[in-house]
Amino acid sequence: MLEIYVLIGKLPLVIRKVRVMEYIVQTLIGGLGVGAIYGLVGLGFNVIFYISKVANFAQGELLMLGAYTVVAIYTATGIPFILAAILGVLISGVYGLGIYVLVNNRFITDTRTSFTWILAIFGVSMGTRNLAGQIWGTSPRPFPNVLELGHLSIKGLFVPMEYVTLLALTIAASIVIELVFSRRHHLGRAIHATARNLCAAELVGINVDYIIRFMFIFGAVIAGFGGVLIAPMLYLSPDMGSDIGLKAIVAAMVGGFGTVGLGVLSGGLLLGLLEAIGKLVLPGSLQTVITFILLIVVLLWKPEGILGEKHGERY
Amino acid sequence: MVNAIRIKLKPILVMLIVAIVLLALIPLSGAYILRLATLVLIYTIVLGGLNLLTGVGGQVSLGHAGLVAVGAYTSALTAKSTGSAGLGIFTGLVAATAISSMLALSSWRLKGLYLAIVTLAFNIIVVRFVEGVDFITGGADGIRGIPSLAVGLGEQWRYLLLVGIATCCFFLLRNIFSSLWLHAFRSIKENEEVAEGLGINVAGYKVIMFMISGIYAALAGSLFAHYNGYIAPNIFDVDKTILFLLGLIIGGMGNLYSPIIGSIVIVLLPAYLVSFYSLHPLFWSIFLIVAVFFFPEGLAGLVQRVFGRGRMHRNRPLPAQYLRQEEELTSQHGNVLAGVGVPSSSPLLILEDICKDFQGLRALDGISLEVMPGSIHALIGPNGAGKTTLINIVSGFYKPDQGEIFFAGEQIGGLSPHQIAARGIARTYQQLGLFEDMSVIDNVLASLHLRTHSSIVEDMLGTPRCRERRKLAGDMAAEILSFVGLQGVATEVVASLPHGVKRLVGVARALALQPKLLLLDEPAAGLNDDEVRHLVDLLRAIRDKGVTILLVEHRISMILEVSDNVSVLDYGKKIAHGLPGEILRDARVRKAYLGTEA
Repeated sequence: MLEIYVLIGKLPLVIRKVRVMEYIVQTLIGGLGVGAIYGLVGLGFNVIFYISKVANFAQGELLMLGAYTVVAIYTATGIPFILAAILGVLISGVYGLGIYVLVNNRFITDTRTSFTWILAIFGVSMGTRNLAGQIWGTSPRPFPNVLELGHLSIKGLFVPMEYVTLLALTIAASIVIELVFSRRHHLGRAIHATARNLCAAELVGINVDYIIRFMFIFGAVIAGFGGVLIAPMLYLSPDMGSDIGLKAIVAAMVGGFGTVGLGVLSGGLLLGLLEAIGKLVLPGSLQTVITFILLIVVLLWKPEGILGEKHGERY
Repeated sequence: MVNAIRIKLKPILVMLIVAIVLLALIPLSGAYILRLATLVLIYTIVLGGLNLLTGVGGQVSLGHAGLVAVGAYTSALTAKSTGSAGLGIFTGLVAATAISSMLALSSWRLKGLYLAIVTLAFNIIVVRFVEGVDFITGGADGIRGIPSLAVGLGEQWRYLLLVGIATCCFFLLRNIFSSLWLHAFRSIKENEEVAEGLGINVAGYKVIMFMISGIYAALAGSLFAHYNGYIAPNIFDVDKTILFLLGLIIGGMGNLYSPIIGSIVIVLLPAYLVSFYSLHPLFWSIFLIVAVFFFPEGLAGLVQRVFGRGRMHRNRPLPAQYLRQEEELTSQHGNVLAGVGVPSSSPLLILEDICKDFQGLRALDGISLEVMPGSIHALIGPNGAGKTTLINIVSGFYKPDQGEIFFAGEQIGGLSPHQIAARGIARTYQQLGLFEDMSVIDNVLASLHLRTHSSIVEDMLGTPRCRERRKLAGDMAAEILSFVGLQGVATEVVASLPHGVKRLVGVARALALQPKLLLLDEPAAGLNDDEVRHLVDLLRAIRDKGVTILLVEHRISMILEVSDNVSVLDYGKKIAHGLPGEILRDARVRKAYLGTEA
């Protein structure tokens, strides 16, 4: 099992020099960084859930594919890394389209009564992981460290720039998502209309197929972007996304299923922080246990999410 | 008669073939085949429990491998410390019972996707916890050298023991499938609220389903631990749960034989088709997607579809027990509905000053009402007057904000719908609320469950008393159907029936509760004139049996024809009460309906 040892991997050098206090602060910052990714990927999850009521359990696999694609493009073509990253993230959208094609099949569209689509998605995620292993090998490999960002030193505290960039980019991405969902422009209104009532939206001339397809692509692109952001802190491996994908769902749940807003991002940050605290006191496996117990407790206590508002019926 | 014999023979034949195959494996095959057969049997047990929970009861569990792990680990650890595999299995079962009933508690609050996520989280928690407490469980390396079951006996005898256990598990489930519990569980899958209204204790039954399937999972888990001698956390991860569900889909969700078909396929297919172990997940994922796309109703469904045998099922004649003549029925059991009503001069149902608010909107405002026994009491009023709200309050689906409800002298205000149904109030729904995927007679049997079921343990063992009761239920269902005039469509799936017939199914299902009071919510909506006439006759016949009827209806002509008393609601207030003829001349009623006092 690949745990997300955000700082630990890079720490041994540092830890010898710094004091305990600094170690704690850095773990917390690392937690915030990973938490931001949970939030971002969770937003992608909610984007898809909001429009289609399909819970995309393969969100973590989309993240993994995004990261691998970027590396593949970068090593194959030799184009500048930033360009390769943009290209790879856009290509991630294609995988989202794949899930759309699969789930919006006429046999399994009725998301309310049948759960076969859940199995189809689990099938996809299982197969994707295996396929990625066949293509790129199952052993973890490092992400090319092309952007030497260095460190930030604040009052003797040692903060890797990567986390600062990661946080900044995540916040930028969630602002973009908020903008897409804004009711000020036609696309945003069309999205909300489609999510509320598919038939009515179609009747007033919205191309709902186009909207839904767009949202699946959008959700996958967000996951791919998350993959590129997190990959430098992790090693590339077919399993890298499984944990993040599930914890992203926890973040989405804290923010409220199907709500696209800053609540999900803060849910992710909260989760990341909690995990970082857990990391200071618990062994790796048990800290995951805490996360999922949190999920169950919150789901039972407030199914609409801690930060989310009640909307629609739960089913 | 021939049909009946064929239906009786088929399972016996299947059993015989299965038994011969299982026993023939012993002399004919080597250790490898025997190992595969062992695995198939263990899978059959897990899938059997899962089939009851998810296939029949509709409670999606993505955490079943977690329950298997609970059984396996508890059993292995106990057995290692005490040296007794039997004691291990016992503690495994106890642990799984406790944990699965906790999962069931979460299903009280959460449904569908949310329940799926909770069970998924449960599976992850179990696996990671086992990994985490490595000082007890050996962590990711697992436990080795688990004591084997029946150590003194040889390989073959241990295999035979497993065959015996799996067969027992199968027959226990088969007995549930042929009892009235099946209909109760299926009705929970179809529509929980309506099931509750039929007197089915949905929350309690969910616990039963979770516990049975948890026990099955734990049994399989502990057997696996003792047969395999080695367990590790990664054996029980979420992918395994998905594989279980795939097995059920292959066999056909909710089909009694699906666990057998499914486990044979998911054990044998990879063993013979794909030689590279690393490719198994890919193989499964492709298989899963193909299955979901092309045969979501299972291999049996696929065969039926390809060879056009689907029609056979639909046009199958009624099983012989339903085909008795009506006279014979009456002489045997008396009339199902006779003597239900209690002749009395005091009101059967009394509402006192009932109020109900919906977020500031006052739907009912101080309603007082008395329904006399043996009468047809009509409740009319313009749309939005609060009629359906009143029905929902009487049947317990809404709690009144204020006021008291007395039924047959008992205060029923705070009771839950299934308790109220058990006291003798049945209802129909404006939007039908039928179990659309079940046949007509199954709908009625689901409703008969309350009055005729035995305890689940008794039914699992299939005692003679249970069989007697099942037969009685079958007869009662047939009698009710012929009383309502549905005997011709008893085995049809409800979804395939025209609207008018569906309305009657609703009435038949409500009657099967043997109610004292029948609440009918717009039973004539969408019916044509002929059907209305039939309904009027039927309502009179029901009243003549002594059943009191509270009727919500818009058709004034029908009200005039059939009702003894009429109450008129408008904006949540009772504006008039009296005989049907007087009511229509009442000025306030005219104003409410026509807007003028003219």
